[in-house]
This record gives sequence, C-alpha cells and structure tokens, in this order.
Amino acid sequence: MEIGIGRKRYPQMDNNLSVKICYFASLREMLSCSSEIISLPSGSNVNDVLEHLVSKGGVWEEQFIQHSFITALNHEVCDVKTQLKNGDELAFFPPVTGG
Amino acid sequence: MVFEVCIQEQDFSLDVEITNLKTKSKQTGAVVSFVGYVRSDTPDMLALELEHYDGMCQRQIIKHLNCAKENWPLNFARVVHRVGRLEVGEQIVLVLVGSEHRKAAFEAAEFLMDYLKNEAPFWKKQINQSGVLWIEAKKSDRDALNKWKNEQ
Repeated sequence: MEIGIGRKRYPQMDNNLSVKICYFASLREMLSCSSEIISLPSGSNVNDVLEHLVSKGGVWEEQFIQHSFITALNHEVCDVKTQLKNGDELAFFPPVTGG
Repeated sequence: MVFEVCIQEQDFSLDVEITNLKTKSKQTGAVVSFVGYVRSDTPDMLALELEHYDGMCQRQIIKHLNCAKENWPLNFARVVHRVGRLEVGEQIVLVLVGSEHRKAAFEAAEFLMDYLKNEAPFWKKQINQSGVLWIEAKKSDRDALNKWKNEQ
C-alpha cells in the first residue's frame, strides 16, 4: 500500500522520499499490518511519520498514543527526531521479550 | 575466535555446540552455557510463539557479542535463539561463552542473557488452551541490564 503524507502541509515539495514502515508483534496484530511503503516530503523525521499514523484515528491513534513502543531505523534503535532518507526502513514495535 | 549468532526454528544440541567450539579453541579452560526453556506459567499453557525482527536481531546480537569481547578476555561466544512455535519444555535460547578462566565466562554469559532479555528484538506470545496473550517486558529484566550499563 502506498500513501502520501504531509502533502497539504508541504504543497510546494515535489521531492518526496519513500520509506518502508514495519510493525511487529502485538502492534502488527492490532494494526492488521506488517509493513507498508509510505511517501513523504524530504526533510521528514520519525515524528512526522508518527503524526501521520496517529491522524489515521481508530486503532492507529489508540496504539501510538496509549501504548509504549520502540522505533528503529535501518535496524538501529532511534528517537523521534531522527531524519529519514529515501529507502529507509523504519520499524515500530512493543518492548521486547526475548531470551 | 568465533563470535556468532544463529536464529533458527530447529532445536539445538548443547553437547554438539560445545564440542564444535571447543575443538577450535585449545586455550579455553572455561565454558559457561545458559539454556533457556519454555516454562509453563499457567496450568493451561501449551506453548510459546516467538517472533523476531529478521536482520535487526542478528545485527544487534553481533554488536553485543563484540561488546562482550571488548569487556572480557573471551575465546568464543555463540548465541542460538529459536523462533516459531515452541512447546512447553522445549529449548528456546543458548548462550555459550568460552574463556581461559571461569570469571570472564560467567560474567559475559550473564551480560549477553541480560541483553537478549531486554533489547534484542524478539517477542513471545503465550498460547494457552483458553486463548493467547503477548508476554510483557519485566522491570526486573530491565534492572538487570541497567546494572551492566552503570558499570561501563
């Protein structure tokens, strides 16, 4: 699924980047989505993606507002201020329980 | 020196794993192994379903194996972590650490397990006869890992 985000906020931007978003474990099940490709304006960061996900409302808003989760960019844990590049893989997942 | 991780569905043999690593390291005088098993937490529990983030798991565990190598004089360290459905009583995880002397091997094995519990991207779903539930992270596990971070 490909969706555009932030285009209303950035109407002049035509230099979009494409990012793969992955969801794991309980978050994946609650969202009924394991991964998606989204398009967003260059200069976007992780928080821009989060704002978009929350704006979808319903279970999306509930999961990202009410539950704790971890973000990882290209297999490294990151924070919401991390800048995104074209082709990045951004993952959201609940606290881990391995071992 | 072998420092490696293996994520797999199939079972592992502790004896085979130790023999494989010992034959590659004649200087090893101490081997510490930790094996985690699927524990029955409720009378109707059947199994665990383990999910992982492929790629990130391997990368992050290798990073922590290297961290262990930098902090203790180790000859080898290997992590085997199973994924998929595991019945009660089955093996989940193996941490195997070899060193010349026992203290380094004990400490490094404990460090690696504390890391696996807290930061490696695995998730456990408990499968009961009455339904399923995702297991939540424990504060006690987090405290155990923070102990190492505070010492560094």
